[in-house]
Amino acid sequence: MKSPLRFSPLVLSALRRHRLRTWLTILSVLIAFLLFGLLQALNQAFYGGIKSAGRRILVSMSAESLVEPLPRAYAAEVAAMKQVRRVAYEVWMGGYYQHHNQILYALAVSPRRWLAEERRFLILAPRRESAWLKDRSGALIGNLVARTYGWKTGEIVPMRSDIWIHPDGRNTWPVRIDGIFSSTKKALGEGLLVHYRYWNDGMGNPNNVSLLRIEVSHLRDLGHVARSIDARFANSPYPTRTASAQTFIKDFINQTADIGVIIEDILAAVFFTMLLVTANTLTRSVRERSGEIAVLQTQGYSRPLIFSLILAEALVLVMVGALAGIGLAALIVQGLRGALEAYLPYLALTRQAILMALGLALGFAALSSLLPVLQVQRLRTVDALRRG
Amino acid sequence: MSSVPPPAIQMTEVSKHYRRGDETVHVLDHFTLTVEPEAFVALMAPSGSGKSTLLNLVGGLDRPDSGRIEIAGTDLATLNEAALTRWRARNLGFIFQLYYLIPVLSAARNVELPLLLLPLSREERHRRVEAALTLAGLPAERHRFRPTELSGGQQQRVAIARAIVTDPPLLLCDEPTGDLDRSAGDEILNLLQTLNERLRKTIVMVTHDPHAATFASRRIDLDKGLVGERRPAT
Repeated sequence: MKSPLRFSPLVLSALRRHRLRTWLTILSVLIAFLLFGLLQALNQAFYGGIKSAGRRILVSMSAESLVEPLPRAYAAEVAAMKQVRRVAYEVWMGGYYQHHNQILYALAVSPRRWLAEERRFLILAPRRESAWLKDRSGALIGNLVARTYGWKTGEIVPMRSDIWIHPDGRNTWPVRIDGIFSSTKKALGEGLLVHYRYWNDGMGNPNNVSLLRIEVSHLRDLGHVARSIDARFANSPYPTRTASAQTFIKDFINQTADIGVIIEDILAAVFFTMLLVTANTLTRSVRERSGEIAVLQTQGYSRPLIFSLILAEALVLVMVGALAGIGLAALIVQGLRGALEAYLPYLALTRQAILMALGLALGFAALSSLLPVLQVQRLRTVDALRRG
Repeated sequence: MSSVPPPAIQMTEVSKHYRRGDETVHVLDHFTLTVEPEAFVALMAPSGSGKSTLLNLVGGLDRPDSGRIEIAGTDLATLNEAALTRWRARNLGFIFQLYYLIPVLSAARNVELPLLLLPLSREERHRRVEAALTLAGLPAERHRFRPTELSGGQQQRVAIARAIVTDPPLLLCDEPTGDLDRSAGDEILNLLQTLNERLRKTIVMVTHDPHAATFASRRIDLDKGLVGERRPAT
């Protein structure tokens, strides 16, 4: 019988008083949360892969840069370390299809080791897997790559690389597609895998690798093993830099720019502006209604109740805008996902981002109602009635 | 032996002053007033002589510097802010010169506002709102009109309905006809008379209009805190 909803006409009446002002404020909140949603989706697109990287995996590469090689013999040395469970190695092919902008995320790997590590994330017919293992110049490709270029199993694809040139000067690495897999790891779906031996033979057996992937036995060993590896090769001609796979991916992305910091800075500016606009709307609204608020007090409305009504007003204002903004962002991200899946496979508005938006909306509603609440706190009923 | 009810209003030696710049203005100075239950009192005073201050003190909206104010036996000094707010909801109805209706709510919604504080069902609230508006003389077809769609007199009827909808024993009216022409003003004053005579409401009306004061059963002239009393000619 005493539901707080009975006050809803009173709360809505405050917002209906200046409809244009109310709608413009809601629009500013909508834009702020639309940006929040889109930037969070972008953040996810860049950093989403970090979470999927194995927590017990270390990546060891040349201390100088990713394009500097490491001797393949390091793999056996590292594998012999006590806390290391498994070591795989790979060469970054720097591949592309016909033009430089048709980038292929191609790796030369040890096929059995690679499959042992990734098989649980793959959907691939066993006969396709066998075919690849037997075919030294064969490739496995992700379904996203296959869809992008319309490639089918059995086709021979002329992959090119400007990093790895054959001793005779050719830069073409033709590969036969032995299988197309889909994967629960989106980044894999963009991948193209060739035999390490194919690359090594083609390059005249340098026996080098781009990086080592090291799985440690226990998570607690991660730091110790990383330090041990770097210490072991510190005085060799090929010193290493070893870090967790998650750190490796993050550092790789941040080579261009720290996207996370940029996104945070933009959102801070947007939300600060939104907060000012909303607080200003509420403050003006309360100032204009000071006479009516005084009359409510003469009718028995307590100050805490009036504070609650102002907070409810702020909640409606912010939540309507926030829900519309996040909803619109979700629609846009959904629309973009199909088009950008090959480039940004992790692009998504996550549940966590939506919950964060709702939490922020509640916080901003409370913050923006602070000034008006202080106004009412200072309001003397007698003075407000005298002013009219 | 029947017990005598306490006065509707008993003000004893009440003083109130304000600071205006460097100047101290003594609005009420050891002011004493008794209003009996079911009386209709007109407080006559020129502007700035403290009649609104007096009404605010009686309504518990302001505190005196000294003296004692009792309403139907309740000493207002004993009530804290929260208790005073609850007391006002049960015992007082305010009527203002400027109506103070919420422009985007219908007449009925405006009248319903004080009832939202009470544990009443929606149907009961609706019933009481309709009864109050009918009693205040607003035609039924206008109950859903917004204040801006009503004349000044009709808006004051809505404000009166809002004041009486919780059935308080005491109505405090601050220049209730100050914004109305003579004809509309007389209709409002007649309505107040009816509320006093038929529903036995105690009414204190401050006004500077001698004509309005003739509708009251008792007239008090207030000049700088001094009281002169005149009974209307019968």
